[in-house]
Amino acid sequence: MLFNSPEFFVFFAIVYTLYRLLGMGAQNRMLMVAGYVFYGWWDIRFLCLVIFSTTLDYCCGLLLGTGQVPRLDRLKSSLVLPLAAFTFVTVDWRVPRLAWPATVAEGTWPSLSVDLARLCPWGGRGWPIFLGTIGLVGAANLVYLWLARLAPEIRHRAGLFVTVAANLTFLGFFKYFNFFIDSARAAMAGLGLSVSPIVLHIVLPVGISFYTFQSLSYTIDVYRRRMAPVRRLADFATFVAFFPQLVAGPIERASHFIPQLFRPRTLTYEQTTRGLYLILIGLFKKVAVADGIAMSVNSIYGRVHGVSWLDTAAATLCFALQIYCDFSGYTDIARGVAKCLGFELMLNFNQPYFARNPSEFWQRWHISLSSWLRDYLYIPLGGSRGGEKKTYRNLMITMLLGGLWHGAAWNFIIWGLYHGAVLCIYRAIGHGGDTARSARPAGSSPLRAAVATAFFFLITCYGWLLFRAASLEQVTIFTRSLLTGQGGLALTMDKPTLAAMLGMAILIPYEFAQYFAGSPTFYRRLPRPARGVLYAILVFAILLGTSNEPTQFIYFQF
Amino acid sequence: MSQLNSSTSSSDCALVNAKSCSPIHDVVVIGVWMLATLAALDVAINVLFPPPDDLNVAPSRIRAYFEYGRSVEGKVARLIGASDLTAGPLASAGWRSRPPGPEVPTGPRPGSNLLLANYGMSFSAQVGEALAKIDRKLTLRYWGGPAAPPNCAYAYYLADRGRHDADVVMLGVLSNRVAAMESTSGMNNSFEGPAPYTFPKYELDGSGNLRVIEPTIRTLAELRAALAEPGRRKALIAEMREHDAYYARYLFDRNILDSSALLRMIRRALAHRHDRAVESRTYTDAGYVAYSVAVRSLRHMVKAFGASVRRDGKLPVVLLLHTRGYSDHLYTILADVLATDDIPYVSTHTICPANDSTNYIADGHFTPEANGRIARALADVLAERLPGRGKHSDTEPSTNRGPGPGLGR
Repeated sequence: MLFNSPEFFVFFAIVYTLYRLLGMGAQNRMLMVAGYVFYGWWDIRFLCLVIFSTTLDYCCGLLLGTGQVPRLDRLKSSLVLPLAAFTFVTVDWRVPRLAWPATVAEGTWPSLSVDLARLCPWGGRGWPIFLGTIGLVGAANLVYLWLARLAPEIRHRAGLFVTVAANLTFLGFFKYFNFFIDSARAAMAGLGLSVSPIVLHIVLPVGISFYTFQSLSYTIDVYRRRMAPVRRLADFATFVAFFPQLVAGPIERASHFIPQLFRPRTLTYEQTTRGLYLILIGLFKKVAVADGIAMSVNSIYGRVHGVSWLDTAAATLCFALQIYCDFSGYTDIARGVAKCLGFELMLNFNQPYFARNPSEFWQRWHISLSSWLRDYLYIPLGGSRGGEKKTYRNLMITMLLGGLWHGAAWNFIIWGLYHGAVLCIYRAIGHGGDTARSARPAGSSPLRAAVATAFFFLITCYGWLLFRAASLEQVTIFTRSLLTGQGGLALTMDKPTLAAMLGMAILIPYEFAQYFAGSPTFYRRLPRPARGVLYAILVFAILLGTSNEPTQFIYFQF
Repeated sequence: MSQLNSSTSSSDCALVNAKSCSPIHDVVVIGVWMLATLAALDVAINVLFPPPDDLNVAPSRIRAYFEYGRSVEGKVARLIGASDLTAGPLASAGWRSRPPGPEVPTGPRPGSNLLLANYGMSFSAQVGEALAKIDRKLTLRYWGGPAAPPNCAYAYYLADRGRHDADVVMLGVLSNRVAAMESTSGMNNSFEGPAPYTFPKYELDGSGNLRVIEPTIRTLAELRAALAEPGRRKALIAEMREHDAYYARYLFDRNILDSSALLRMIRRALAHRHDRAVESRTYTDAGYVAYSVAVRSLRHMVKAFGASVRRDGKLPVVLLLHTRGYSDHLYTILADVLATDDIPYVSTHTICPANDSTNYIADGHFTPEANGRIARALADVLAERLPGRGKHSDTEPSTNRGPGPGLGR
């Protein structure tokens, strides 16, 4: 279900109404079910994966936190997984059909027809997956019995190994299997060896990287004794399946989110209006700006040859804006929806293009991922504690894996390495410790700050070229075009839509106003009539954008 | 249950009295200003960008933009006017009741040695014109409709059969109009620019033969009458509901929503959504759905076209026109039919790749250069298939001479 689709607004209206009617415990259960409906809307089979990830990390959390998984919880978990496999994979939900009466004479109620022979077909993958899940659950119980007999300290470490290995295997299989098989085949072919490919037709489940990292952070935090394990599977499932951030983040930390599940939640007027405003500005960024320039970007990045210097520069600049508006727009909507339900999600974007250096950029761009990588990868690798060489190594590894997190493609790896190199160079020239989390860093001359911001924006934009490129050939040709001025100032890029042009005319001054005001709520200082006019203009831009062709959120594929 | 706390921390609250600081007051004041601004924008658009009074004048892009969301019926009614005298130029295009007139050649003109009958839409017309420029010994006979889907082009061919002495008969198939084969007029399947002409729909019957579904409305006058008289309008709606997959009442019916520019934009968004849903039955990002009604009908139609033209002693040619983004998908679903029945064809996907936007102009048509390349490929196919005719004059060598999937010889 997309945030910018009519179904979502109907869905959210139902969820919000139920939420207001229910007590806190029932609210949590309802949110869990809502999360599954929201996620299953894409493909109901994917729900099996979310439930697998949830059950695995719930059990590992208990093992790491208390040294054991109580028998009843083990039994529940052992039943939930096969049940999920059967319900969401073995049963073909496309088979039951609702037929609406064609005439008044035939009545007003639809009739349900089910072809039982096709409902759970023997020929497909449904039964093998169901039986495989039963086997997996049996094996997991045996592993548990073995772990339970180990000494506490060894069990603690082994438990961590199991959760990290299982989560990464799970992620790796669905996200990287095809990439590694293709790469290995290409490498073998390069050596003159021909191998028959393994083809599994693996579909990439939406948002798998987001919820896997989120639930993995929980078990690591429990291992580090930074939080107590969640005692009830349903509570943990609510955390993993919380629909506003389920498919594209922010990658919420369990220690931040789970306590909110158990606290009484009060919806204040300010929180609700702020939430609604975040939804509005998020839709504006996505629908008016990001979707409006997507075609322009595609018109250049959809080809390799016949592209001028201006085409490359303009399309890359547009992509920088598109990806920012697409992703931060999604996050704004997610945070806004959560606020309306009384939850606070972490800030994920803090005006990243105002960053003056790479270190600051990563404190402003996709904050939930960069802080995840810092806390669970960079620091455990040794961070900056082992001397310069090790620091560079750790930076490169972290950024390489950060790039790979985005997708199984060489351009993401190169993008990660590029940013790793930029961070290393920045550190090497003596600026490594400088950070600026605040909206507007003080203490430097405005001109110097502006030059630094502009220069680093260009560095970032080249990174986006690497990120967006469809092939290494395109990277080479576009880079050559940028460096040599090949093709000159001929512009063949499609013009952005009217919505995008209006959107950019609003967004750019808005971002500057927010930056100089130093607060994301600066608009609340405007007189009420001015706020009314601002909201109306945003709605107008959204309507303009809505009337154009919509585009899928870029980060759904990650 | 959660309570909606009415506290507010707006910074200006400290300076004003409690009444003007209450959330309700806040919501009312902001809401009124917001609605007033939206209403003002709506009125301003209608005043500043009205559709042009003269239907013979193309509206500016921005005027057209704000008109896209008007109901299908609203746009069609305006286009067809109260009579032929007040109708726009597009109103009379594409009707089978208006076949090519006597000025359109029925045989090769003096000095030329070949008549090519070309059925399709603007894309195929442009390729034909480009071919005529490079082959001076060629005479063209064209019949097409605005954005005509393949079933419409096929219907033109059938209607024109026996009215000319063409040596070559060419059927244009436009990739983004295959899904529109599930309709019987150019109205609902082109929401933003509906064309009123009608055409038959073809479906496979139980024995695998093409079954034709003829629309009741055959002329512009009949359509005008149908939209004006409630009884006939009801019959038209019933027919569209049954045979036009693109028909949706909320998109077709002319009503008060047409008066608001903002609501028109919402309707346009709904139309995109509706069209995507209908088209996804025939086409997805991975290509055409092989078992869909439209694709199965198209394959049989191409087969029937080849056999029928050959029975008449003429050379059939199929022009596969891949619009932007369609990769080689049209070729993929028809390649085996064309090969098995040895039907000559030109597929644009190798000549002007559909992922290269430089092959297309802003409105989606091919550039003149691209049309030239397609025409040269077509000339090569004709030269090979009609060797006794002799080489055409003024022909530049084709850049795509090697045998490949783009050229069927």
